Amino acid sequence: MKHYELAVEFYKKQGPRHDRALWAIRQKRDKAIKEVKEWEKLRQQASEIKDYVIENLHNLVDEFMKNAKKEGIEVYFAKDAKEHNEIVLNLLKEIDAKKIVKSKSMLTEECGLNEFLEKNGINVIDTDLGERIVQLRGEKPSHIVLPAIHTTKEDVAEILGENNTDPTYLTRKMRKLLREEFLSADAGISGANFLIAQKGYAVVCTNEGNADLGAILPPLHIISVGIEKLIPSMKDLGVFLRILARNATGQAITTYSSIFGKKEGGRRVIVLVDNGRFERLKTEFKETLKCIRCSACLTTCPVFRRSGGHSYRYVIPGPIGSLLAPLSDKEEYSDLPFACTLCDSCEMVCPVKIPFSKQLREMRKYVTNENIIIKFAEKSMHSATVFKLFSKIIRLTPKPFLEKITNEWSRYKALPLIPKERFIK
Amino acid sequence: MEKLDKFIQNLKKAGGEVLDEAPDGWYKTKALLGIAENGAVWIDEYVKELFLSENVAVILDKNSIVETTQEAMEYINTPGIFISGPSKTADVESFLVYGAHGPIRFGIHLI
Repeated sequence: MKHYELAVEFYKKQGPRHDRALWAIRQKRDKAIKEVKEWEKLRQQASEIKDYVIENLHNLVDEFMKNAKKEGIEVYFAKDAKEHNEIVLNLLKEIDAKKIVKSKSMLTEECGLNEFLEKNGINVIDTDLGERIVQLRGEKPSHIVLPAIHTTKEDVAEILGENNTDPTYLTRKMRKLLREEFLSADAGISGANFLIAQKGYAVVCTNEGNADLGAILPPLHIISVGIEKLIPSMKDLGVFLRILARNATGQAITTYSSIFGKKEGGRRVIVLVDNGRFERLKTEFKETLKCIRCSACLTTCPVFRRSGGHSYRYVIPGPIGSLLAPLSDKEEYSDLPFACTLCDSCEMVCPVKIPFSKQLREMRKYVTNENIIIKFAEKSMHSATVFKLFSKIIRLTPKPFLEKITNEWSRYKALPLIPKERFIK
Repeated sequence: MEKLDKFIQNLKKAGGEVLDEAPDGWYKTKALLGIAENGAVWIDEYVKELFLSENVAVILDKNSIVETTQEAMEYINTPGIFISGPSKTADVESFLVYGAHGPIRFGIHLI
């Protein structure tokens, strides 16, 4: 099913509630950024740092790998999802791991790591409460920062087999269940928000503390991360820590911002993943690599708010997902760049100034196969004779048939009446 | 002392509290600096008790509060962690709950 079909279904079920919940977060975000007088200057700085990163990505990867090794972290480079999954599986097999605790990582979603490990007999426990909720429901996250925003407290009570729907009660219950998993897991896997090339450190930002428990309790901590998360220095990290949480949830900073070096009394392994990113550098979509996954473009998007993340069918939904999904599968996701009113709200809130409107328009061109009728229409405008003939044909074509061939547009919009006579004789 | 007031205000916003002294039974540790704009503290002793304890008390020198995270990063050159308030989540229908996986209470004892 395509986005517009899934969107209609979602909206009927819970569109207004979902819309209100996300709009409340957008308002919190607006309040939080007003507290920082130099917000626009910070955005500009963040954007410039990321421009530098995408221009120097090869060098930064090399610098990071060198410095991380020096720090005492093992580093691997995976060219694609398959290679990433195999590296992780081998690391886990080496220690005969049966159960791993995982914290949120969009990259492992992109690589399908959970399914791959489960197929190989490893029990994967998602530990972010929202991700655990969707995992137990047999779903995928519907938002990259708020994975279970599409569920209600009744839904959570149901999957836990509880009658009590009090959020504090349900949260405590999940805390207790997951604490046992943390204490008995063989390894922890997390993503990273930033990688510091200059030092070889990985930075993880969370509110729950699940990434930290997964990093500190089991003897092995694996960090799976896309190469675009690199930033040059600790100084640059200061800029991003100031904007990330404010723009994402309206908090001044996340509860935990952990800077990981070598793991005391255990192994820390970082798997850097390319999976098409170096290739993307050469395309007109290279600016999508600036994204820091703050999720503000999802939260603000009037289409996303009303259609829910699952209608996008890709691991990353919303405006940024509409750019990333077609790059991973052009045919499957060709509808996504059109799930957009070009209202520009995403571009206004983007902390690294990704030119969304321009990129989404480019993406529409990229996914559109040449339509023979449009092509003919365009050609006909070059000649008055052909154009007259063409408009005559249109006038003579029965309206129901015309509506059929213009499909998506006529679903909610009637074709305008075609005048009997031409404007110019 | 404008920085101190701002620090306390933002600490409370993040769900943290100001302690007159570190209570018995709480896990106690020391922070190297605090940040006024978000109420976070920088701790370089990264140990499991920071997350496994239900209550965490952090001792912080009033004079080591800086204005912004960018300013803080000028002093930081090692691994460690910024913490602002107790662990929290809003994953159950957007209701804010303290004590997700880590501490339920998080206090700062200013000296």
